[in-house]
Amino acid sequence: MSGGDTDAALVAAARSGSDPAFARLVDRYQQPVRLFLRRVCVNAADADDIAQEAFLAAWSKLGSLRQAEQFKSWLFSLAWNKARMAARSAVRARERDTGWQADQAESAEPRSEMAIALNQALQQLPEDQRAAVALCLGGGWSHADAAAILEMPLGTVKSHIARGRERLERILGVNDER
Amino acid sequence: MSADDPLQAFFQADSEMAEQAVPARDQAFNALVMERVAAQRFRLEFAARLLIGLALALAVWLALPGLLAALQSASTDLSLAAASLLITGFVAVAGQRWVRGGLVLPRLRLF
Repeated sequence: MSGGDTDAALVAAARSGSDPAFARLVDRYQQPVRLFLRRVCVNAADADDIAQEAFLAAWSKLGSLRQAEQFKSWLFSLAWNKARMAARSAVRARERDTGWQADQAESAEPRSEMAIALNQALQQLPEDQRAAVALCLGGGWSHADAAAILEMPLGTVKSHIARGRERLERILGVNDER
Repeated sequence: MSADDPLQAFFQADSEMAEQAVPARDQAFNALVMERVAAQRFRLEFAARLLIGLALALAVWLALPGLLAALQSASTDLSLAAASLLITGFVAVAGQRWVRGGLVLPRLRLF
């Protein structure tokens, strides 16, 4: 990554009105953000909508980002907040409760049995636990980074991951194999 | 997550499948985001211009009584000054043309 290609340089350019610079940031982070949201949300289309909203919020709030080099974790934090707000919408929650299986069946994406099982198991975790597990076990983030993204104390994140892991192992039946 | 973590195989399988659906470079997604950014910028700029326009209109409306009173009180002086300027201008233009020969005045035969 050259000097002009770092997150900080692109953020600075985007702040001064450069659309190509912001497009580079979108290009760079759209995949990890969407993968995270697909694990947190039920529906892939909803996850992509929320990802778009997160990038739009990032563009609107770029001026409030204090450390430009922290753009990635700040973006994940925005995505998480958007996902949480969407999940708290009563209508969406009701649709998800009743239509999860249908949504999965209608999905055009080919998914392996393990992937389907994991996603079904993730949906049984509480929202915060699911996000912590998706970040640390699925996305490779450190516990400290996840705590910053989810705006939770480090101890809470560690607890979420330990409990989430235990529950996932029980649901997926991998406890017995150890 | 360690290599012998039983959950790793699940996350790996899920990542592999998800990465097929969400490529590292997705021009369609980028275009959608940038389109929304452009629309948002338009809305913000439109709102800002609208606010400035409304603020100017409000300022003029608030200042209108004072402006009208000032204009009315100065109107007599202004009309005198405007008449003086008009006459002076007419004299200057006519005088210039007369001096240059462009203006031929009829001879007055008084006697």
